[in-house]
Amino acid sequence: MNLLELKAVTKKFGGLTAVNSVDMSIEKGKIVGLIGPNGAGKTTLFNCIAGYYHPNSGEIWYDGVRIDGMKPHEICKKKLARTFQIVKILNKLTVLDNIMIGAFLNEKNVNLAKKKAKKVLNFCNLDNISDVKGSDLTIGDKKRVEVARAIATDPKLILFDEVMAGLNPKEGKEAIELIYKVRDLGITILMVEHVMEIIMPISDQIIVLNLGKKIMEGTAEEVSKNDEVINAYLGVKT
Amino acid sequence: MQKRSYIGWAFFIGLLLVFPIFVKAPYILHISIMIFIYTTLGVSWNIISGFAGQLSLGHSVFLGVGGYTTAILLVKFGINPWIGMFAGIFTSVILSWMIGVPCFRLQGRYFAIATMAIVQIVYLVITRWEYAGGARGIYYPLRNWGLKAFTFRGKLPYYFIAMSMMLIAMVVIYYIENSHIGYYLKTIRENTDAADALGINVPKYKMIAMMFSAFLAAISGTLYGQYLLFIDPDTMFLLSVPIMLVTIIGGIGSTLGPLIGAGVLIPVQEIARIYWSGSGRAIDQLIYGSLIVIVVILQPKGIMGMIDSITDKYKKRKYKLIEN
Amino acid sequence: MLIIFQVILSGITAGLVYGLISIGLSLIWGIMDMVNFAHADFMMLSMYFAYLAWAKLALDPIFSLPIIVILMFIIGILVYRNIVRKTVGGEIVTQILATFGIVVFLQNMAQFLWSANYQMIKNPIASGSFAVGDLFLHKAQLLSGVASLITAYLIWIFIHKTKLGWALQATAQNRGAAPLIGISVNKMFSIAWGIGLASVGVAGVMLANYYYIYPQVGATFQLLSLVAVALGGFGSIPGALLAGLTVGLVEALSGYFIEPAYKYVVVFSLYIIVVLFRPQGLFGTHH
Repeated sequence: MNLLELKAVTKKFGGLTAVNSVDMSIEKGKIVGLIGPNGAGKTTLFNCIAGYYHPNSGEIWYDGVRIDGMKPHEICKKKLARTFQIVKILNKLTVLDNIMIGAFLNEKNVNLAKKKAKKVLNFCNLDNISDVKGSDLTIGDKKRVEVARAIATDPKLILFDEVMAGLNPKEGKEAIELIYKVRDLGITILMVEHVMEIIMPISDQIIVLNLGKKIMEGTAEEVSKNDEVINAYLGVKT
Repeated sequence: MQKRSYIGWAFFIGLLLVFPIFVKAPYILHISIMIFIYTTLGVSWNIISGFAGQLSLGHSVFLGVGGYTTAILLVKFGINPWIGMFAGIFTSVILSWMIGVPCFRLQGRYFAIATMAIVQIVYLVITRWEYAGGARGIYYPLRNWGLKAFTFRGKLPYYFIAMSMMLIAMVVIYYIENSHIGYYLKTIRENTDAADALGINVPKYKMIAMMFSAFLAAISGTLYGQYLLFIDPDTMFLLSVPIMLVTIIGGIGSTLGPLIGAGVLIPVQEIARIYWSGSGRAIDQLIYGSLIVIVVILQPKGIMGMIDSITDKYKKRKYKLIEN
Repeated sequence: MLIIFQVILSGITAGLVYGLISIGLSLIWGIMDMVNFAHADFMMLSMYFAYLAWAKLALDPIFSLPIIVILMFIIGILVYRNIVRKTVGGEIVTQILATFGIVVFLQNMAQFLWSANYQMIKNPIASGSFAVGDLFLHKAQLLSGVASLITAYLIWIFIHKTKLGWALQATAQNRGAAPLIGISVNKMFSIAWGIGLASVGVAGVMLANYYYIYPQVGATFQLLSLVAVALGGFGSIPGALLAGLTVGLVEALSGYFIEPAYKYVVVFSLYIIVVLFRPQGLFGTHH
């Protein structure tokens, strides 16, 4: 069953076509990687899916409901969560509070939300910093908090926008473990990544964008051998 | 609320209740009443400007609309002020809705400008509206006295009513802070993109904050009018600055800020009024302006902020120890 | 019939003054992403300077103009360095409150120093009127309109044709990248404030020729100029000027057709409507 389906989605900004008639089908329970050179339109596509932009044409279907044109908070209520390329956690609140706000989506009672947030905290190995204020965290911890917060909203699918960027190798490894744990919860994952050695091994399926168009889709092996993909990157370095 | 807080509040309320037994001087009661009223107004402003981060620069308009509604209903239609108070709440909330619905979709700055425009418009309209007393204002009829008429000869009943309103305000702010609404508002204040991504309907929650805010300002307006037994456009619509200052000094965005700020500022204001009467008007406003700038630059979080930064330093050291 | 042309004329001259004030506002807003709520109160300050120069030094506004403009430029830099700078990069609430505090301070300082009485400069050089056909043109109003246009043009040239102006534009577009090409963001912000206050100084001195001078005179000009900036968009000098004209005309015409007191209601309602449907303003470009 396709959880997320894009049909000929196009997004223009003035004269620039950032996303050009992209089709996409994401099966439930999979980890799908979205790659492409800089400027390929990946984040724009994410923003279209999450409701921050409205596509000029095309359709976006999620869990059987058409979501293009909906506002971001409505889409989140439909159980589609996202993280941001530039982390947007709340600096003035503690880690636990940040996660609680995610939990409030489905649980308005403060004590129950706190319990749920603690569970998510524990799941993401954040127990030792649960009372630390957002502004005092390292970038790696900030990213994990954003992931935890997204998980707390009980999504069926999470969009990870360059969740690995800026992490050192140890943090990167922990992030990969976390992603697998999220998948094991039954959450579908669509992730944008630049770091090839991370995204290739963990994705069930890879979609490649270049200049707004989908140029290839397949397994990691198929994609890495594809000439067009290689040309788009002008040599993929590993 | 933690047990400590319950005890603290019980003690504080007890103190307030017995205070007038020992202190009977009308002037001190007057200062107390003003502290209560300004705390309520400060909490009202704090909810929308401090918690939700939507700066309201003409907040006195809600005070004025609430007060004038009650006054007009009383003087022109003989309607009991308690009922008039509810009518005042109604009109004030409607006004807040009229501003919020169009303006909450926009950036905070546009909202701030709109609040400035609205208070100017309402002030202009009332000053020219002879039916509502125009620039001269409305004098309350001194016919009925007592609780039912919401009009008293002594200060003591006003003291208790004002105190109750302040406690209502504190209950409201505690409720907001400790419910999901408070967390949502803090999110909206800091980062609306994050709020959207967490399923928060930003305009809806801004509106919720606004309506609570308008409610508290309206009841203060009614009380203010009943206390002074007189209202005019100047007393009702030009109070935005002290309302803001009380919260800014105490700590914008904090729960106790308005109370502390009022406790500090109002006695000073009232005493200054004695010594500087005459050209008094300009000097106290002059000091307000300077204070706003100074506090905002040096210690934007006010008195509560100073207290918090001490506890934060302790927590930060704890984190560094864990990291290492 | 003729009255309406008179009304339109005064709307235009008033509009040009609003436009000039809006340009300064728009400059600061565009470059620093900050609303200077005290902008028109600095204009009030320059009006008092002109009045004092006339009353104490027997200096006509036309002659005190250059001195006051330089003075305002310096004041602008001082205010930025000592107050505004501390709020840059902080919360918007703090920024708004800082300039709002300056509003309260300036208005009441003026009242304290010079009393709340309305003052007027009597018989300046630019006084009287002359007739063109059946229309009466007031010299002082005409002069302020012309001065606004000239100042607007000078600022435009500065922004678009000088190296410093380009640096300002660069800072406006990308504050983060500007230091990477050798631009001192602080210096740019100081200049923005300097020019902003200097231009509003021109408006003030010219207004002092024919307008009442009192502590709260800035208040309505401020709101009208904020409306104009919202209409005209930021970062657009012609836009701000056109929007100022629009506001001036709307004010004059609605004052004529409806009761004068309600003309502000019309202007402010216009603000709410425009800002709802076109957040970037009627004439603005990006935001």
